[in-house]
Amino acid sequence: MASLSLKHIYKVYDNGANGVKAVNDFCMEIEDKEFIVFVGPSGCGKSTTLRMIAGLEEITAGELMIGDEVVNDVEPKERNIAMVFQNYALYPHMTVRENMAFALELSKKFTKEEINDRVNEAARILDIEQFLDRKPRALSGGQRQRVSLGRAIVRDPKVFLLDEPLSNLDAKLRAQMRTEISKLHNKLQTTFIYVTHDQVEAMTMGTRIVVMKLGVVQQIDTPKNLYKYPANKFVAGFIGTPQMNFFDATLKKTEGGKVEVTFANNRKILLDEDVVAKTDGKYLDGNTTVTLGVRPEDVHWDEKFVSEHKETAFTCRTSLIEALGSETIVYCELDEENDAIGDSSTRLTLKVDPKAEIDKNQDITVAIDPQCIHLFDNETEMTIMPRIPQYNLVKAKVKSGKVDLLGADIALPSAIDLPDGDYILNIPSDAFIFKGFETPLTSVEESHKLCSVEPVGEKYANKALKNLVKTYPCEQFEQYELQFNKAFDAEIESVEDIGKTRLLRLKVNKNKLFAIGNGVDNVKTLSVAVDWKKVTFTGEEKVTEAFALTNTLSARVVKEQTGKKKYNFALEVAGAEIYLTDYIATKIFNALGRKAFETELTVDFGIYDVMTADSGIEGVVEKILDYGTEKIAVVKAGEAQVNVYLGNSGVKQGDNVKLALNLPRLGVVETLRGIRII
Amino acid sequence: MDYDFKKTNGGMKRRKAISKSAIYTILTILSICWILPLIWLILQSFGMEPDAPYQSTYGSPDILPSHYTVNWYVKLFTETEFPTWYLNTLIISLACMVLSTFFTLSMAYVMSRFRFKSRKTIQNIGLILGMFPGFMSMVAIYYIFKGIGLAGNVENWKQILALIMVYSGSAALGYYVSKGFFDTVSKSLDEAARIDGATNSQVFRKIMLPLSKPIIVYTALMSFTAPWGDFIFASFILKENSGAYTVAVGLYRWIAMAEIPAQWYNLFAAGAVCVAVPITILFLLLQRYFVEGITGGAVKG
Repeated sequence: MASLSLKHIYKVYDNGANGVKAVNDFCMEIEDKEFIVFVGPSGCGKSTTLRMIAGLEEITAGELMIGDEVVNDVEPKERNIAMVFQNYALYPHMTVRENMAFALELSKKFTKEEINDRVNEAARILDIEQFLDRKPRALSGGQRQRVSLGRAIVRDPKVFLLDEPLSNLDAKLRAQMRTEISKLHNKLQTTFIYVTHDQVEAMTMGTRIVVMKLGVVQQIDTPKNLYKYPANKFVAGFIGTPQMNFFDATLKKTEGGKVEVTFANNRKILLDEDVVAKTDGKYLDGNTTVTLGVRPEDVHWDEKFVSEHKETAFTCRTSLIEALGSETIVYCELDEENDAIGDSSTRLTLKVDPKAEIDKNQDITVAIDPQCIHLFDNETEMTIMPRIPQYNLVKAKVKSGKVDLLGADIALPSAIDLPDGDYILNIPSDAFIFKGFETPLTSVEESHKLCSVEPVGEKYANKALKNLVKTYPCEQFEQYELQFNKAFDAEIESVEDIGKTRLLRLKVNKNKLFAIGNGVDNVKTLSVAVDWKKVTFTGEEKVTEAFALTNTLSARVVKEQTGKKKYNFALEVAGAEIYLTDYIATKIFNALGRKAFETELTVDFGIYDVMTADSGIEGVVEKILDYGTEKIAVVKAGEAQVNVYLGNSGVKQGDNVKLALNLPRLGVVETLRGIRII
Repeated sequence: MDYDFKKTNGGMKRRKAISKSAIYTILTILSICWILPLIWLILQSFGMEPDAPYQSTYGSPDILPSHYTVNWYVKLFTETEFPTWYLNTLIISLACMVLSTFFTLSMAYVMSRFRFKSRKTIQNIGLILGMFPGFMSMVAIYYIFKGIGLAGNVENWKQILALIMVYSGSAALGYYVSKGFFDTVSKSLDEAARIDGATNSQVFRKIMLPLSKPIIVYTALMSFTAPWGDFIFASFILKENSGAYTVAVGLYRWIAMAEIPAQWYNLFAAGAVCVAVPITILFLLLQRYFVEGITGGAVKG
C-alpha cells in the first residue's frame, strides 16, 4: 500500500551522441490503491517504465518515489513490489507451493507455519489449492498465471506490477482473468500498475489510464474521460473499437449561432456554436483544415434520430456489413465518385442495431450526434476542444494607454506600450485575479513540497569556493505581494470542475470568458483584475511577445580540489558559482556520472524563484516593467537576460544587482539531449 | 487421368528400400571399423596361450584367443604399480570434475546474464585462447610449477596437485556451450527471483543450476574425461616419478619402454579396459539427464 511518484523519468539508450529515448519525461503521481494501466502500441515504452519501477532497468534521469522514499538506487527486493510477468516466469523445478513460498523463504523473516498460512491463504483466494503440489508444467496457462499472481500476493507488496499478464491466454480465459484481477484489486486494496497493449483491458480495469506512444505520455486520465475527451488524435484513434472516424473539414461561423462544417467533398453539416465554445476562434475561419473525429457509435441510422438531427444528417452508400451478433458494423463510402477504399477519410464506420435490415450498396441517411464530435488540429493532432481552454481571444481597441476591453475602459500598465489601434488580445485563462480569492501566483505546487523537505546539506561544500554564492531559505522567496488593480466586474455563468482545476465561465457585459478560478466559491459576481504580463496583443502595427515566466540560463558543473581526493562542486551560472545542494549534486552525478563536468546544462527557474540579494549572479537592471499588479525587473547578466519579480525592493533601472536563486526549485536540463535531470 | 496407384506406390517404396539399405550398409561397415579394436582389446585382456597362464598372446594371428583367463587382471592389480596410477588418475579427475564444472558454469552464467564493460572483449579473448592447443604453454607451466615447488623432484601429492591445477585452471575458457544453454533459460525467471529477493548467487544456485542439469552433466563428464585420458601434460610434469603417474602415462611407458613388447601386451590390454570402466559407468549413470529437458512449464508453453 503506497503511493508512487514519477518525476521526469527518462530512459535513454546510448546510441551515439543523441541517444534513443525509450521513455521521455514521464511524470505522474499515483495514489494509493489506484489501478493504473499503461497502454500503447508495442515499443511505446510502457514495459520499460514498469521495469524501471520494478528496478529491473536503471533509470537514466528522474526521480522515482515509492511511498516517501526515493528508490532510484534501491534493489528490486528492497522496493517491496511484486511483479507478474507475461510469460509467468514460474520456477519450473519447484512445485506451486515452493514457487509461492520462495520469496518468503529467502527473506528469512517468516517461520514455516507463517509461510504455510500465507501460501494457503493466497491459494484459497485464487482457487488453486488443489494444485499446490504440482509442478508448473502440469498446469494450464490460466492456472499458471494464477500461480504467478499467488506468488505476488503472498509477499503482501506495496505495489503490484503486472506486465501484460493476460496476453498469453486465449480470448475466453483472458476475459475471465480480467474480472478476476479486478476483483483481486478490490480485495487486496493495493496499488496496481498494469501494462497492456489491449485497450479493452485498459478500459475495463484501470481507475486511470496512461496512454503512451514512442516513449511519450499522450494522456493520463480515467477511462471515461479518455473516451470522452481524448487529448489528441492518437488517443482518440487508439481508444474504442472500431476506430473513430476521422475526416478533414473546415469550420465556419455562420449567422444565427451555428457553425458550418464543410468536408473535403463539399458535404456540409451544421453544429451548434455551443459545441465549439472552447475552440480557439482561429479554427473557425472557414479556411483552416481541421480533423473532425466521430466514433462509430455516435453516428446514428435510426429514423427517429435522423429526423431530430437534420442538420448533421447526410447520405452515404454502404459497402460492407459486419454482423457481430450483438451489434452490426456498417462501412460506408462517402465519396461515391471515387471508390477509395484505402483512404479512411472517405469512409465512414458506424455501429447499428443488430436487428437492422441493412444491405451492401444501399444508400442510407445517417446523422452524427453533434454533442459527440471531436476536433483536432491537423498539424499538431492535438484536440482543439480542450476541456480547459488555455486562452481567450478578445478584440479590443487601444487608445492613449487605455484598452477598451469587454465594454470596460481599462488603463494599461506602463509596461505595455502600444500604439493606438485595433488589437486581438490573447488572455490566458489563468491570467485573471479575483478579489478575495487571490492565489499564489505560481502554479508549481509540487516543488513547494520539495522546498520544505530539502536539506541544504554540507556534503559537497565543506569549504567555500572562491565565488561561492550564499544560499537563502525558501521562505524569503515566497513573499509575493499583489496590487489588486480592478479591471472589470464579472458574473459567473457556470462552474465546471475538471480534475483539480475549477473552470469558470465568466460573463462580462455580454461577452463570455473562460477563467481558471481555483478556490472561487459561493459567489455570483467577481471583481476581476488582469495579470497583464501573461496577455499578448496582436495588432496591425505591433505584436507583443509572451512574457517569459521561466528564465533559462546555461550552466555547468565546476569542481575545485580542496585536498587529496577532496573536491567541492558548484554550478557555474552566468559567471557566478552557485552552491550545489546535496539534492542537486546527487541528481546531476547520478544522471551524468563523470561526464557531469563536460556536459552542457541548462537551468531554469521561475520569476518568483529569483530575487535580488547581497550575493549571487551579478547583473544590471535593464528596465523595470510595471504591470500594475506587480513589478518585474529585466536584468542583464552577461549575455543572458533574467526576469525577476521585484516585490517591495526599491531596485531602480541601471542598478547593479546580485541575483540569488531558490535552489530547491531549480530545474536542471541536459542541454544536448534535452533530458530533464531535475 | 489414369493413375496406376500400385505402380507409383510400389516405385516409391522400392526406391526408399534401396536407399535405406545403402545407408545401413555404410553405417554397419563404419561401426565395425570403429568397434573392432575395442572388442579385440577386451578379448586380448582375457586371452592366454594354452597351458601357459602368463604367456603373452602377442603375435598370435587370431582375433579370438584360444583360451580365456583373468590372470592378467590379477597380475595388474597385485604385481604392478597400476593400482597407484589408477588411484592418482581418479583423484585428479574427480577433483577436476568438481572444480572445472564450477569454473565453467560460473563463467557461463556471468557471460549469459550480466552486462558489463568489455564483456564482448573478454568473451572473444576467451574464445580465441580456448582454440589454442593447451600444450603450447607446457614449458612455461612446468617452470612456474617448479618455481612454486610443485614440479621437479618433489613429493607425489604435490605433483598431483599441480596436475589438478593445470587441468581445471583453464576450464572457464570452455564456457561457450554452457552459455548457449543458459541463454535459453528465460531471463524473466532471473528477474522474478530477483524481485522475490534472491541475490545473484541465489539466482545461480536456486534457479539456474536446478534448471541446467543437462549442461551440468555434460560439463562434468567433459571435465572428468579430459584429465582421465590426457597424456602430454601428465608425462611432461611427472617425468620419471612413476609413483605419481596417471594411467595414460603409466600404460604408455609400459609399451614404449619395454624391450620385449610381448611382456606387457596383455597387461596393457587389461589396463586399458580398466581405464574405460569408470567413464562407461559415469555415462550410464548420467545419460538420462542428457536427453531430459526440464525447463518445461517455466514460461509460456
